[in-house]
Amino acid sequence: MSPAAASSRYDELRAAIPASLLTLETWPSVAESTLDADYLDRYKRLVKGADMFLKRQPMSQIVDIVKMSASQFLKLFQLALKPWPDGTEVVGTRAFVKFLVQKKRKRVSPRDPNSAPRGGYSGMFPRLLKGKPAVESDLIDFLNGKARPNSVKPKILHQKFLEICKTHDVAEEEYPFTTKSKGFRPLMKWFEQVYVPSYLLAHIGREHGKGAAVAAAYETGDGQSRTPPTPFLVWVIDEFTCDLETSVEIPSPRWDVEVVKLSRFPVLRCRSIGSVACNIAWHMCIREQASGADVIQLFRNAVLGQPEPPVVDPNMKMAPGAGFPTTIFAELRFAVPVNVYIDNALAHLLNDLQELLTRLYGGRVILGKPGTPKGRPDIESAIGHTVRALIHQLVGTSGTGPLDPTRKTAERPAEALVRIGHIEQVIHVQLANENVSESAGAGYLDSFTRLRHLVERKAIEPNYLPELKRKPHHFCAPKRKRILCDLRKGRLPHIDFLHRRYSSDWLKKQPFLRDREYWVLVDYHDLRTLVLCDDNMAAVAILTCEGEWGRVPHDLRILKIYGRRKADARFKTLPRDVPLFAVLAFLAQEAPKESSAALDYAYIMRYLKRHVPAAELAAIQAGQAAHIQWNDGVEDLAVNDAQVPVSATVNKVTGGVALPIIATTSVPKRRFNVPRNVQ
Amino acid sequence: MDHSIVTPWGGRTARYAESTGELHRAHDPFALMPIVFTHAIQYEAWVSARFDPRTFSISHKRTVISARVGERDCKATATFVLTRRNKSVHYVLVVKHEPPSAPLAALNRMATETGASVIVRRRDEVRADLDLFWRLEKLRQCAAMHLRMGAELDRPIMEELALGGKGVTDLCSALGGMDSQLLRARLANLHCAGRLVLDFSNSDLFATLAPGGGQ
Repeated sequence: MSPAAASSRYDELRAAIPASLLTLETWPSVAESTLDADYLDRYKRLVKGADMFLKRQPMSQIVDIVKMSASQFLKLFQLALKPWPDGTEVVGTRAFVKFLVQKKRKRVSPRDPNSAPRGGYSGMFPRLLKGKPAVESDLIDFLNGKARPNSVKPKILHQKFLEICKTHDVAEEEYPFTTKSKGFRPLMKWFEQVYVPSYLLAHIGREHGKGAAVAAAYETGDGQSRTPPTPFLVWVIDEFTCDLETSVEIPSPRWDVEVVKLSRFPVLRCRSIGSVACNIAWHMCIREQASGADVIQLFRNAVLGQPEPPVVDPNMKMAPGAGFPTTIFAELRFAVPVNVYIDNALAHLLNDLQELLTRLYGGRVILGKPGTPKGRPDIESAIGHTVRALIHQLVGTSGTGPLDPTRKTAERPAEALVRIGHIEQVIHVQLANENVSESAGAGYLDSFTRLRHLVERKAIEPNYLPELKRKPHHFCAPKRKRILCDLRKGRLPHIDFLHRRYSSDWLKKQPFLRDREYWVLVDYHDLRTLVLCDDNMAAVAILTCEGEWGRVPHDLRILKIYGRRKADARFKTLPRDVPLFAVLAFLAQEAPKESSAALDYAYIMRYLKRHVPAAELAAIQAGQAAHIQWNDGVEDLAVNDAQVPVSATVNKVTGGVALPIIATTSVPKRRFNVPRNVQ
Repeated sequence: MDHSIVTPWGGRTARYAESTGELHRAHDPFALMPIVFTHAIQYEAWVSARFDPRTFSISHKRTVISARVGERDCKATATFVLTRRNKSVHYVLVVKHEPPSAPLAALNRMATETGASVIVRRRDEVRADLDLFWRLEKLRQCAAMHLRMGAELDRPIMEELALGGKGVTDLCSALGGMDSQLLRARLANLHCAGRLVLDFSNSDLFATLAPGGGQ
């Protein structure tokens, strides 16, 4: 090698040394005591030369020390940087021990027919694969293909191998047919050392299922794919099923109330991740599966503040200082997340939700890899904890799955089950209390202590939802709608939305707006009104639903329940002009027999109850009469003796302490009218 | 497609059209386009490139570049394509450690043909300053939340900055105590439009007029 070439190779080799190997102490080495005395001196000289090379000494001095040519030394040095056959380390100073590191031998010659009958087969299997590469590729195709049995037993693999060999014209007098085992052991060695490491995920997928392969693929990462989170502003949501049989009380025509079972329902939960992991909001979905509107409600709760559930048991209180961040810390109210991790449930892919998160909140949505709950360990472990600590401890829990033994022992009559109102309150209190419990996610402090420190130091600099966009109609994706009008048939201008007409006094007087397109904003929680916007998203008018639906608060869920149940209800009652109440009566009748009907019924009643003003509700509960305006214009009292709560009646009879009357003088009228003679 | 008011994300079908793995979605308030990437580092690199004062335009998802090399139509994929204000085009390839040789070679070949250059961004480079990334990300978020809001403020802001560079706090008080979040959104818009230059080294964002008087 010419001096110029040696110099260039010196530079190349220097540049190729990984940063972790720039000092000789970090190299794998051999104990000098284990070396043959004849090679020890050479080893020491080469180690000294390598050290000088790493310290950028001139090649001329290195050559003097190692007593060999520059090219020979550089060749050995290059060998020292190559990977060691087993494991991930480099060869290191083992390269300087004579004869220790050798190139892997490959057999090229055929077997000598004169050799001993049981000898001379060394290296024949790799030679076979090299000589007939189609054998190996067919084997790999078989193992990766659909013809493979899920679990590959050695015998099956061997039979396939021999079959492939015959297909590719390996003669009977050739290897492997000339040996007693017919290449069984080298085949298994190839399977373990070549095939499995090369096609690990495909192998796991076939052997243990697709889920195992996805989980294994997740484990192959280095744990740094996720952007390191900023405090409080990176959120993650997930849903868990409340593995619990619950009950709800419904009015009964025969006696006071009837208790019916409810089927299981999901609960949505939102947490922040990173150094201040805490519960931000939650939402109970009284239905079989969470919908997109439920997830939108969760994010509304998270930003606008988690609403308090109705107090069912006054003794069930939060720990001192417990709550949710948006209600406890004024600085975090209306703060929006920068990043949100969600999974691939259909409800999470709803366009309105994607728009809410990316446009209204302006954040980044991260849709995780499907089937990898390990990708969101923060919330999965928190859910696991809540389920173990709370849900599975309650009466009527159905456990983690169909095989859970608690499912059989948990059979209870409906009267013995926990009421849905209690469940709502207990989950609220539990999640609030978790925020003031010590956790590993908050550095073994409680989350709120850590969060308080950060807020006081102004270390969290959130963006806040602009005041103009906090109205409920902004929590959706705008929809393009055309103004419809047909004056010949007497149809004044209106908009069709969910197969119902929406219009307003102003719009009805604008027939020239026919066929003009506007953007429409909808509040999924109350579909009585829509907001009409122009192309600059400036509000033009508020449209009201025409007909009966315009007077009853309702949401998408109620519309769906109505659509699903009205056909059944029609055959049992005469709905006439009171369809919703007919459906409601039908649901009340079906609830004892069908738990999903009970779920629908419970949802509608709780929804409507939220729309009754608190003062009116308190007055009714206290036994005071409230005015009802029926839809034929007649006014009446809402509460009569038959409807007075049991506890209040008992108080009258026994002369005990009467319930406090909260609203004394004026009780507001109901905002929506109720058909007469409908209970 | 117009994404100025609403983006049709496409539900389940579109979710798996781009990638069967992870997916990062956001909204670019400056170009009014949806952003879609398959890895966090790609998105992080995009954000830092978006706020580079030299950036004129930028693509919003993995971009396939095709050109005719000799007698063949060739294709290569860049993480995103960047056009600077001096009209130079850069194909950016974001990688975890070392770029895979075949895609990089294809991209280099394409760059030679089209007169562009290739920029390779590794994860350790992209994540070198996480505080800066979060600052830029919050600024993008701020601009996305205040879309179509406060455009009338651009003129007073530019007039105020013509008197000398100012931070957000000073600018807020100089403009009569206006909403600082809205001001940040407008500053981000003006920065990406090349009318002023923001210094992101601290959270107060010192703003100066761009060379040429911000015209």
